[in-house]
Amino acid sequence: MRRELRSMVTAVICFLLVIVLNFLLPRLLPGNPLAYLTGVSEEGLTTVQEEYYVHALHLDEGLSRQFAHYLGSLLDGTLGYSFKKDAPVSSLIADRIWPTLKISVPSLLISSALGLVLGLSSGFATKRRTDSWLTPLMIVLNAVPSFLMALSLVLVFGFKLRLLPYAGLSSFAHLILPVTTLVLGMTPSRYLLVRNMVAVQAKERYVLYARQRGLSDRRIRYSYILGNIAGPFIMALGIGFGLAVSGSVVVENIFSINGMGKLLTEAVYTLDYPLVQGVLFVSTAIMAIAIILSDLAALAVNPKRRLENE
Amino acid sequence: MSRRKVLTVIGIVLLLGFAVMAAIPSAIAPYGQKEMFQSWLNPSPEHPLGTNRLGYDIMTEMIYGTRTTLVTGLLSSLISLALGAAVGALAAEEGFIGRMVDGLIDVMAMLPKLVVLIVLGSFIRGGGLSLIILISVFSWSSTARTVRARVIELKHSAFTENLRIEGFSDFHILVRHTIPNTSDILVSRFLLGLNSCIMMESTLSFLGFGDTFHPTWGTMVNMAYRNGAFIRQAYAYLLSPGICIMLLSLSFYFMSIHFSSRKEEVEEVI
Amino acid sequence: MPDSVLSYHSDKMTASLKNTEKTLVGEIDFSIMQGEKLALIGETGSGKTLTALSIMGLLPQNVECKGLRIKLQCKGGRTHVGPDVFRTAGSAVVYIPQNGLESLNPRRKVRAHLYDTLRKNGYDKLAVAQKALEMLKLAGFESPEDIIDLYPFQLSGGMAQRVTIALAMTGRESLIIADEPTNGLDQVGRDNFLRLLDSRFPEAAKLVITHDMAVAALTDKVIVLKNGIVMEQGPSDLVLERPGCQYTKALMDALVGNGMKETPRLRDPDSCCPFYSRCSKACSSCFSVSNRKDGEHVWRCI
Repeated sequence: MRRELRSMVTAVICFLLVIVLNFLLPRLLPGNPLAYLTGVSEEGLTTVQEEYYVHALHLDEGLSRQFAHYLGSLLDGTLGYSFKKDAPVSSLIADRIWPTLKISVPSLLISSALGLVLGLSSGFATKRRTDSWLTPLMIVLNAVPSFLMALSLVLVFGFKLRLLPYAGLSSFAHLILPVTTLVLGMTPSRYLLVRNMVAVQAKERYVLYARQRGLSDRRIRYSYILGNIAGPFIMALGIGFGLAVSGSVVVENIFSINGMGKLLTEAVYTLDYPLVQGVLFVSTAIMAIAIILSDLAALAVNPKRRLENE
Repeated sequence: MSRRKVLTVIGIVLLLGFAVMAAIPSAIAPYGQKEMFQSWLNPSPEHPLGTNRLGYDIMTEMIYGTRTTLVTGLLSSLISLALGAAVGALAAEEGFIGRMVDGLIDVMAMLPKLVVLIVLGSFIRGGGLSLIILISVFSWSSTARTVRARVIELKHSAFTENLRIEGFSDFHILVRHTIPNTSDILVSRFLLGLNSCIMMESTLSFLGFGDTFHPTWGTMVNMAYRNGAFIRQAYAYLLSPGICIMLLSLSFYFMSIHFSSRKEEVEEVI
Repeated sequence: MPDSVLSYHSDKMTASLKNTEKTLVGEIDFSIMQGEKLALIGETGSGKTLTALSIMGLLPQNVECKGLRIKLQCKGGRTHVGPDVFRTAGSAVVYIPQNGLESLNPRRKVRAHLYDTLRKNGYDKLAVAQKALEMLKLAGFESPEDIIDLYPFQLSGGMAQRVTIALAMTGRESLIIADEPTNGLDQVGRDNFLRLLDSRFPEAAKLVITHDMAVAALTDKVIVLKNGIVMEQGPSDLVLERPGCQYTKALMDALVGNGMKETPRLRDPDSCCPFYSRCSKACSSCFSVSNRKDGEHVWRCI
């Protein structure tokens, strides 16, 4: 119980930390907070405009009152206002969440499934050892920077071979390259995690007994060992979701996908700070939710705990 | 030679190569840094990787970029190592402080690093040094975890108990006994940390946060991408800095294998 | 004269550490007939578990068995030789572990354990449910329906042990290896267990691993191991009546029934005999000790 609970609490604290960070950043850094909150530099404002903004952004009030307003903007769904784009941050983000999910969720699932199956086969084997070639391959794969992976795939399959599209997401075929990039980037760490967990289990007595009963490798992997690593593996899924969303920043940029990751870089480029902070907020929220859900799932998987609670 | 030894040797060879490129670039590079040729030349014997938008030889740019990339990575991982060791040792304390710091480690480990760094990077513009510091501030959590585990193990070891019974002060035990016994994991984590710092830096530079006056390999890819290397089919320009990053990363990883204590377990990087 | 069910010979078993090879177990040779019980007696680390693992081909990675010649005659008439014997683990060769609770998979119900073994041994889906309950009943459970859907952590040590006995009833069992089955049991418990083995597996050859000399009284043959060396071997009645080796005598003296006489350390050890340092009758002849024989009764002493 402790492990999952601890993870959930950490996720919540993480989220709260980001909220506070977003509040403090523009106000603590040198320079006029106004510049950070509107994206317009002080020189470009007339005194009247400046006064207007200061009042609208509550910068004339005390810090705690400002925090209250800030929390209000989070709770009422606007997440602040982007003066550059003249729209509430939340609406700008809402348009762009779906493409990000469209590539990160499948990538997470595929890379986790691959990592699980391959990790199981490498971590425990009595005959053909996949470990000797698969693990080095994964190590090399892990060392490839995400942008190199994306660029190489685009160049080979998009340009040279002209097999797959590489810009936008208008058809199913458009998903293939970006998802492949993310999968190739995420599978090695999932694989190594599973492999190590399985290798630890392989030394346990119940595995020896299963071998003494002559059960097949496959049976031992999937009916014996898998059940005993399911909890930590599911928890890793939640954390992996955060990695997938982070990873999609690079992928979206290279594949011209209009998701949250690309929105983030665009916002940075135009110095649209409220939008930048909004994306951070949403990303962290998604990550925290994913972690909490996966921790609950991990709790549900453990029969001992389930029965204790009955 | 056992496989471990082969890997370590490969790692050392690669590393030496890069170190030489970083130390005496002018001796290795075929041309000077600011020698201009025709822009966007294709790879040829004179220009193995072609030339960029301003006509500079790309191979030269890469060799000179080695130093910046390495120094950036080294500095951030050293700072991160120091932070991680300090926080980790603190987290090993019993009582309230220990548990709070331990919680802090967990929270920092869970943050979506790339996104946070992008956000902070956009607020704190400043190129080289600020990037180094930012990366270090968010990279120490796994070192801290490892150090904490080892310090706790040492604290409960019979040897430490004996020292305490014999009356040595806690400080003495810390300096003369605990710290020397963490050196092996510190080296291993340093190498792994280098790995992840370089990856993080190159990704951030690729996204545009790097210093264009002292380009690292990541910044080079960004410049290539932004300046239309795609359209001009300058593939060598686009891919070669990334390949160097990969080789550098592998060399550090191989070296860290040499220092790792458990043969069976392979560390999950990043 | 009927053929033996199991005939086993191994030259030695070695462990490879960093640069050296250490001999863990010396030459062992024995055979077990149909229905016979052989007790393999030794202290912890004497090599008895390794011997059992070598029969199933499940030695740890760094341990090698040299000169293994093994032959298994199965219930159905088939004979397996050499490494083929390893493939019969779980069907012809069954293992009853020392600690049932530790050996069962904590995440799998008793039912699932039984089904795994049954399916491996060729029972089809329809038959398994019925057969599983039967096996549990034979193992001593009065109402098997009550425990078949439990998880191992819900069982007591004794119940877990009985489940492992049920798992040994594969239908094709020809050799039963029971690992320290009498730990913690008193005389009555020991008797009951071995009698259960006899009644459930009447024709199978049984190898009982134990550190308890008293078990020898309940088996047909006995091998005494110390530090990987066979100190004494032969029919149980002969060995118990007139033990040839001082070590065997010391083991018997140490039994509760015989007064639990101690064997203090008397001198520095010597490679001539593993018991040299504690033997009360040691003398200069020990340095040239060799195997002595009297029919089937073999021992290693002066």
